[in-house]
Amino acid sequence: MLKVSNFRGGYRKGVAVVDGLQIDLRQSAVTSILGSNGAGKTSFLRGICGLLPWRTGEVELNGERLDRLAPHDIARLGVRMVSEGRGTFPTLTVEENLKVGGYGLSAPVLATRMEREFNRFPRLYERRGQIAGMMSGGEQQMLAIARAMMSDPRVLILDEPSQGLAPIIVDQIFDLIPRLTQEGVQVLLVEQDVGRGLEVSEQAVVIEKGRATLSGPSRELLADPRVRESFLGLS
Amino acid sequence: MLDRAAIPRRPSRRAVLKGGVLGAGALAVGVALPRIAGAAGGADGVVHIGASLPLTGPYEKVSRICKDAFDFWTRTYDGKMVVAGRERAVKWTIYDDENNASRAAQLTEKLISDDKVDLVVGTYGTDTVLAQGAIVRKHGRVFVQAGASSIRVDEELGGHTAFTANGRVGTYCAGAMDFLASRTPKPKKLGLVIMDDPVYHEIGQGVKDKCKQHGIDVVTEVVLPMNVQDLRPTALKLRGAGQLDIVYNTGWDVICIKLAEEMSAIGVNPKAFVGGHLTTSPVVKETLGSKMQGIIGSTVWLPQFKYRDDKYASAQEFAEKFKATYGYLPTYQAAFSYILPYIYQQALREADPQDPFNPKTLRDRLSRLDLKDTIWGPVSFDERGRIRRDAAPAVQWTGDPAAAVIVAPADMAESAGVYPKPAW
Amino acid sequence: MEDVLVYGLLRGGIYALAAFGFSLVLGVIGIVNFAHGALVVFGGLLTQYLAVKFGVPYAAAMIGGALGTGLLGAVIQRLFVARTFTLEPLMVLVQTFGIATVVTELGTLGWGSEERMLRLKTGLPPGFMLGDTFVPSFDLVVFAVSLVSAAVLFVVLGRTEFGRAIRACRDNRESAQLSGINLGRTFEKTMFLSGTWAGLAGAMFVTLSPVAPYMHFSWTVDSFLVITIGGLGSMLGALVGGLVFGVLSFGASFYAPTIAPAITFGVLLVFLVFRPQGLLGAGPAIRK
Ligand SMILES: Nc1ncnc2c1ncn2[C@@H]1O[C@H](COP(=O)(O)OP(=O)(O)OP(=O)(O)O)[C@@H](O)[C@H]1O
Ligand SMILES: [Mg+2]
Repeated sequence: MLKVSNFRGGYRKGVAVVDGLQIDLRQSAVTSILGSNGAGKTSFLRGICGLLPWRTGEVELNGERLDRLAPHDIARLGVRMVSEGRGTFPTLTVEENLKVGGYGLSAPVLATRMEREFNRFPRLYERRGQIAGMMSGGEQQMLAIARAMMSDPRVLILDEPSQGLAPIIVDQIFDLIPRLTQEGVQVLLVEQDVGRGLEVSEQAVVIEKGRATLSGPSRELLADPRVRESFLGLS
Repeated sequence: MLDRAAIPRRPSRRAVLKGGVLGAGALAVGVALPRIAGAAGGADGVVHIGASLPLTGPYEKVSRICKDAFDFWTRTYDGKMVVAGRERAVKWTIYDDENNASRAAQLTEKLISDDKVDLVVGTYGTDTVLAQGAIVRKHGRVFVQAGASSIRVDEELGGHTAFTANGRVGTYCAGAMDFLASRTPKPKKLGLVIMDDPVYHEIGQGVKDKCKQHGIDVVTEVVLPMNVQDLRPTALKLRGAGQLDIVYNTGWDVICIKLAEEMSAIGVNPKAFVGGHLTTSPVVKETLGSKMQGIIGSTVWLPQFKYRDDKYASAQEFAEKFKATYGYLPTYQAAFSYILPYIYQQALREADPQDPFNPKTLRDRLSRLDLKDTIWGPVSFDERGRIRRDAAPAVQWTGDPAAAVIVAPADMAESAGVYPKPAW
Repeated sequence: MEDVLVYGLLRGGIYALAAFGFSLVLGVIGIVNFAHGALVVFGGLLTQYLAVKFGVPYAAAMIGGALGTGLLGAVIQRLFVARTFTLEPLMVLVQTFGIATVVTELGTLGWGSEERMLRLKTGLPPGFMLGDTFVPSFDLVVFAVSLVSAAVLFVVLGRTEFGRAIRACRDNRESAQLSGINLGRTFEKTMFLSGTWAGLAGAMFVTLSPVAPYMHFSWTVDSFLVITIGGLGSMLGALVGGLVFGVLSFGASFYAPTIAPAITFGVLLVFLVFRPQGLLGAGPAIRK
């Protein structure tokens, strides 16, 4: 459904942090983007969401062009990102965070969606009156995902969801991803743990300095010696 | 100088810009102008009068009035002044001193040294007039002014350099206080509100002196910062002082309004309220509405005053002509600005044709001047160069809608006045 | 003593009303709005104008004055602040200062520089005794309106989607945008709310004391003091700060009028040093 081609973008004019990337999510339910620190993964995701100071190229969702739209319009069309560091609203309660995720929806729809998310994350239900700023990293990550899911997105973008979390929580989150896809959402995932990232995804792209160096089915990349050497520390 | 606070009423970025432009213009004029009035004595038949006014900045509005009044005098006499028995054309040079003392000094130096003016009239504002005076004194000249009434002018420049056509601010209260002291039952307790600035303290001192003279107790004295916002605390202070016979405000019109409002809000009802020297500002009556009943104000000039001169049969006629020309009724600033060139004219009429503007003889002539009838009332100067005025008249608002009538001094009074005033 | 407290609290209601918007704009848009005081004065003068010039009943003139000021705030946001606020914060500061000057000058052109006041005939008794203190009825009406409108603001911010969106933008702009919230529109609405409440403060105040364009700056400074005392980013803080500031400034003007400004600013410094988050400000844990 989401297709990105010839994408370039960056923070200062003339300096491209993302330089000619393409991805096509139509082939896979989960797509991973891999790359070392500073490769431009986050910048690329922000570019898709309309948050880069400049960008060129095409972003299409079901044939509709998104690349000229403002971030909130892109979000309304069904592309939702869970940022690196989660980006929950610290002074809002869990419930309020979720309601903001469903911004623009009618009250009954909000209620059913919220119930669905509370079923998905019972922990959030227990803490529904708590302000997000007082919650643990894992809880905030769940909240961020639930908030994005409130709008029934077509594409869910996860930027390093496991960052800074205890292994047991990371396991929970990776168990969750395939289940999300069953609800009809496509996932675009950036993950530091390349092994896990490749295991959970069907397609993957490896980027370096803003350019794609490798791409293909995750299973093949997992076997690729270059990936094994530089990311998995295997030879 | 006593108009409202010394705080700029508006941010003056525009004033700075405009001042810059005017300043540059003035400079250009100064360079370009041939020394018209070069020979002191105006052999070419021109009287050159120099002045500066705070045309930009907080006193913009008052300055306009002063400038219009200079112009009105010039029109009244067809642009001519009789000096030493001969009619000469009048030429004005007026600069913008931006209410800045050093700028006023600089411009006065320029008027005397470069423009070679024959006569200098004072600007508006205590500090600027004092700065001007220092320069005039340096050149051994004299000047007539009305824009500063503080006693500091007498102390620093009086008797030799400055002739001040406005009464001391210490006398502002006299009419009102004499009026009140003559009421029965005689007022005994007064509450005094003083703005914390030398000029206002001087007014306050005048009130205290009058109280002493009439045996009235100053039971409370509230000194307020110039930028005071809320007058409720002051009203509360006044209420704490017990039943007062008189509340006297030395401050300007807005202070008068706020004080009246707050006293009325919390039920402070003195038998008399003197709103100060700016109670006559239209804004006071417009804002206070029916609360204006019985309020007393002091004022140095009103069109109702029974003054006249050689061109106007009454101050009223003067005021009407002025209004017809400029679209507004002249204030006391207009009257005292009009009087400045008028005083020179009277002093110089019979000057020595050889050296009409000689400072020494001009000083003597001004000292000896004794004018019975002018639009500004009788004009003569004491040994400190101060006009002989020992009381500003007092007015009181009565009737519905309230109108101001003169209640003191006795010879000018239009009404016996009301005391005690009705409650708010 | 008791009367100082009562009168201080009564004044405090209006200070709080004026400070809500200042705090909101500082918290959400992240700018110190030097034009805020100009909005308060504008609201007062607009209310007076509607009531005097067109004979609109006070309640309607007050609402008109408040909404008109809100609109002015939104226009200022769209035309000016929105274009510079991504640049240097200092530039926005300078800009709002310039806007204050322009609004003041325009106000002076339109309404003149004279002080204006709106005289109301309420038909209420002049006041009543609270213990030993005489409380003017209209002061109490104003105070009640301050509290009620504060409650309305709390509900708008705390219970509506609009309020949630504003708070979300305050907490995290990007996440708010990623949730489909239009940042520019939300800022305009924030400025509208801020202006409306500033205008309401002016509309109330003009019935108690004369208002003129040149008075705008002291409103800005007072709003600043109120949120320093009460705490940034908290509407309850602005309310408490307003009441505390009302008592403080009233007490200072009563007991030591000549040095009252020095006292209030002294307290400001004490707060900045010992309690920079104010009485009710958000603790560092949930600060962004
Ligand atoms: N806000 C910004 N302004 C300017 N440059 C930025 C900004 N954010 C990131 N960059 C630069 O863009 C490049 C790509 O950064 P980006 O955050 O996209 O990398 P990443 O692949 O997400 O890294 P990581 O794995 O550490 O999250 C880096 O060189 C970084 O310094
Ligand atoms: Mg990153």
